[in-house]
Amino acid sequence: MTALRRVSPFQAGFWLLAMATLVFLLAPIVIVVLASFNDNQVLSFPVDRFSLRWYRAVWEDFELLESVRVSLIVAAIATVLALALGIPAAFSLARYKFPGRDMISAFLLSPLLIPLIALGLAVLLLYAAAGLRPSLTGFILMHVLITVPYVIRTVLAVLTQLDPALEEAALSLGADDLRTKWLVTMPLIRPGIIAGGFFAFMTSLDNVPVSIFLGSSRMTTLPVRIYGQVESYGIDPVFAAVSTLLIAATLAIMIALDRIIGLDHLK
Amino acid sequence: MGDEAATASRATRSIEQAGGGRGASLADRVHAWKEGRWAFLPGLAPVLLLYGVLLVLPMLLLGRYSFYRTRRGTAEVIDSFTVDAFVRFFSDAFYLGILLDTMIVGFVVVLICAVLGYPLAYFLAGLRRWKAVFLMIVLAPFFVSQVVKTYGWMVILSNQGFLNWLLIESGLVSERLRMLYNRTGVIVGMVHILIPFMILTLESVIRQIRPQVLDAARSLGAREWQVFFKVILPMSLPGLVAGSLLVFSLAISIFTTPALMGGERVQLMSNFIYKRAVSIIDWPLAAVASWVLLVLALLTVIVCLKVLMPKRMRA
Repeated sequence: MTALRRVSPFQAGFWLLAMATLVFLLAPIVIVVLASFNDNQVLSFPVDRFSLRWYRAVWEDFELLESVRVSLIVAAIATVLALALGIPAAFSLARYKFPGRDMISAFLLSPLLIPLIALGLAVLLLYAAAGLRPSLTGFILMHVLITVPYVIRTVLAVLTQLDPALEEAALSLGADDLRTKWLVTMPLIRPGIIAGGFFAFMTSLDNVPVSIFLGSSRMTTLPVRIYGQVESYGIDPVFAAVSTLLIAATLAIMIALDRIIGLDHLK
Repeated sequence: MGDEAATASRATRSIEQAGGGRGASLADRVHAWKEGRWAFLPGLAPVLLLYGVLLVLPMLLLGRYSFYRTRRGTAEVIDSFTVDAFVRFFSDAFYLGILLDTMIVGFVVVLICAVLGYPLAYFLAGLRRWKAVFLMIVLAPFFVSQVVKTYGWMVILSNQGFLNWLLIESGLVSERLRMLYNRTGVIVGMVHILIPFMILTLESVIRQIRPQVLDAARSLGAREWQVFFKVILPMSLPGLVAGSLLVFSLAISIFTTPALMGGERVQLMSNFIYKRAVSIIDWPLAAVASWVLLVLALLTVIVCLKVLMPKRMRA
């Protein structure tokens, strides 16, 4: 039984604004998907003839596909390394008391706050000073730096919320430290690890302001490639198709994550 | 079984005593059975090494470059120690104008994010049954690549774009509006990218307001708008302030959206830095601009953490 309450004009306005914001949030995503199926040579509306030509164009653009390959390799390896470095760091910060702990913690999270274009420029200067050339290793290491704070943040959050009694019980029942970590702690903090890995992967896949300084004309990541092309040639419809594919992949990963750990962990 | 449980509880008790009793933090209590003064180091050493080489070293270099001088009219850097680049930045109306523009755009973006984000955050906070669906609608745009979202807005706002088509078809305007490659476009794109930060920050605060408090206000005769302005808004103010500062610090740093949607006309700090780094090469000036932006962004966050957030909300 729902009691009908009179809705005041204020409430109605409030509710309408909320719905308008939802539409605003979805608008560019929906429009890009629509535009990607438009047969027109130039991007325009309305969509009168349906076609898959832009998807074929993506498939035939070898430079674009190469940038996808670079992006996936960089994001995958950077995520694994960010987890490998970030999880032990979060453990140290959560489990030990030592002088300067809060400062180290703030320092490790600082890449989240630094304007990335400043970091990008700083790395350009480092490359210039050291005479380094663009390389996949450079990409991967810099992406570890910008993604590891996400892992530390999420893992630290679940670690500090953990009930210590659970680990204490395992230890007092004779499990050694490593066994306790592996069999008790790890399963308990798994949502934090998965969420951190997801953040890391998406951040790496998304980054422009640092990646733009790391690549060359022959080797670059997908977002930098899209950025460069759109900046020079405007809104080529082929990128509507690329965007649609990226949106579909993002949604698929999110739905899977909702099933595994729940969306609340991604906030 | 019983014995084991007794042992476990005894062990827990002894740990509690060793760690300073119930009041001690988790770190203290667990620390009680960890040995060694430097035991924290192995977990941190690799990540600190990475930060040392790829964060501290480059930032020191950035600091050094801001005291270099360029040979007049060229990109060549002269090994020197001078405040020349600082003087150039802070005495030139054009450069200061870019800084001012960046801050103005930041303020406008914060304002729009707050006005548009608040109702949706309030709506989300009160949801129970359909929460997952609406959370997905808010989070999906958040995780879609920034380049894709920016491209999407260019498709909507361009001369041949969706919005112009809609406005002309519906007869609302007779001539196509110019909405891209100017400040309007940049602000729309930036609001879209940053509004999820505002919504999520607000939602977590609004959710903690107990409905009984609102019912109390209503039963005392408050109208809905009064309930909002006199109860809900004041109670969620910490979230609004935190969200605003977060959005501001991100808005002044954002690169991709203004670079693509601003075209030649709109120049904000981040795009200015990029230009001075790669096309009109002037590394000392770019380094100074980077420091200005960095200090501004960090100050915003520090104000947010230290002054305006009540103690219980820090974490």
